[in-house]
Amino acid sequence: MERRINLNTVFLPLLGFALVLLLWQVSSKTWAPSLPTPARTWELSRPYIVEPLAKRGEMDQGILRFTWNSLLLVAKGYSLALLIGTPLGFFLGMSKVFTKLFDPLIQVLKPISPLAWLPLGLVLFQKTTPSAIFTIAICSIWPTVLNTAIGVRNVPQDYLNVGRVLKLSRLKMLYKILLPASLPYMFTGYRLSLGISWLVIVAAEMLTGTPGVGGFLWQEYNSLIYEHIILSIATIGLIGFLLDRAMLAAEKRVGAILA
Amino acid sequence: MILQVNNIQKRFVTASGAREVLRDIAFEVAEGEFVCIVGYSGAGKTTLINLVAGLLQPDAGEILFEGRATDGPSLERSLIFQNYSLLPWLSALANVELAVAQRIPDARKSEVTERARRYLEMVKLGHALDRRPAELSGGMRQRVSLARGLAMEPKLLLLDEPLGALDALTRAELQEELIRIQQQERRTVLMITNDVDEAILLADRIIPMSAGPGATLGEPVTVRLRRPRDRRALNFDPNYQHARKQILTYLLSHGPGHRTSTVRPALQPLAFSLQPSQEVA
Repeated sequence: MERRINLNTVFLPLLGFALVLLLWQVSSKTWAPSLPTPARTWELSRPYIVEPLAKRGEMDQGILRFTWNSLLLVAKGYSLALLIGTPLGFFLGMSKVFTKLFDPLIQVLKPISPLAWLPLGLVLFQKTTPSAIFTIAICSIWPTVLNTAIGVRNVPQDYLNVGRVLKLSRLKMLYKILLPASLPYMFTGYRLSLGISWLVIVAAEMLTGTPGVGGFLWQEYNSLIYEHIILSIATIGLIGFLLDRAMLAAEKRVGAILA
Repeated sequence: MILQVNNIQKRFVTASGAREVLRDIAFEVAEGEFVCIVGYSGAGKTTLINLVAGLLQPDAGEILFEGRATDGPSLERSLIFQNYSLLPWLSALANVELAVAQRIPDARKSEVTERARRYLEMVKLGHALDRRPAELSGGMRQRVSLARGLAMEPKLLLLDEPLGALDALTRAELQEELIRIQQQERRTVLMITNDVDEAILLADRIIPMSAGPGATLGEPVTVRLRRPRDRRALNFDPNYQHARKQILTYLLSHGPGHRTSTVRPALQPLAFSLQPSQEVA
């Protein structure tokens, strides 16, 4: 029985991975001749993977170095989103007037693509890095705002009654009751926001040409080195997956405390 | 009289119309007295104690505490909730500390901790100070909640069916605990319960409450039993039997449905004449 579980949890994902490799191989040999084969991709990607921290030039760096640059940019935009989004969510959750005032606006701003925000950022800030940060922040802020608001609205009446019976001041009510009680919702928002900021990074770097995974991807497309596009795509996926897992672990931990 | 409740009335307005919960409620609690209100589930007992605690405001009548009309909650009237209402992210100690810190805001941290610890030891939870509510049994959670209420050292302690959610054995155990603590602390207590025997075991005076809607109070019954009380000896005591009979007689003649014929028509004004098709329903 235990053997079968191991078989299923290890073997099946590997099989799925192998099937995709096969499809890739067949595609590059048949209908998509420009698509490099898996072997060729590995060959050309090797220097970037085996020397992940090398820096041969501004746009020719090891893959981890590119990743690090991208993560730094994401961290800036993401922190900005959390710093603004969390209090905004609290106001939205606590005040009906505030909700009526801003909720329709948020619903309209939420579906706007990073590709649309970035030019506006460039108009506003004139420089590429601040406009990239602006784009990441404004695209990723919404799940944080909305989930925090839901969390605050869903704080159990029992906890609020405890606060009232103990005559907690408004400030103490906020950080002794509302904040801890809505933390699980906030973390769900934080996780979704992080996912979006990582999605946005590629678009932002492609347009600004910043040295990072996305910038590298776009540059190699322009230099016709398609193997590196695939390397970048795989890296983006893997890093995104790891970020999500890390946030999920944090979210579960917070949830467990409040069980 | 530390607490005077004068002819209060409370109704809740819902989508389906106004519902009268409490009607003409009047009673008093003297300093040092342990008063129990016994009544049916859903009669509005929790509403009544929430009114006294200041979490709700009456629609008519007034609640005087130490002679002054109440206006919202006060640290002098601490409420112990039926469902414990502990904050799950805080340890047992931290839950009690939060209350103590509100009561003695200028005290040092060590003083607050010492007082919280003392009351948790009083409810025999000295060994579980650092455990969070999720790691405690129902009985233990209610002990923490009790410690939180006691540690505020209020002039009036309000207990809202504190043992209602517990199994019979744990309930009996905590009743003994309440007897012991009351012997020691001598607090003024107003307690809500649906258990007549529990009321007789603990209270100096018992006020029966009729079933809703529009619940009212019956004549108070004074419990003439010496303290400390022992449940094993009580059953054969004529005073116990007398009190029990008086309360049960009131409750059974004021049970659910006893008043259906006398529901005040003013509560559904003209509804049937406007929508005759719904009259049957």
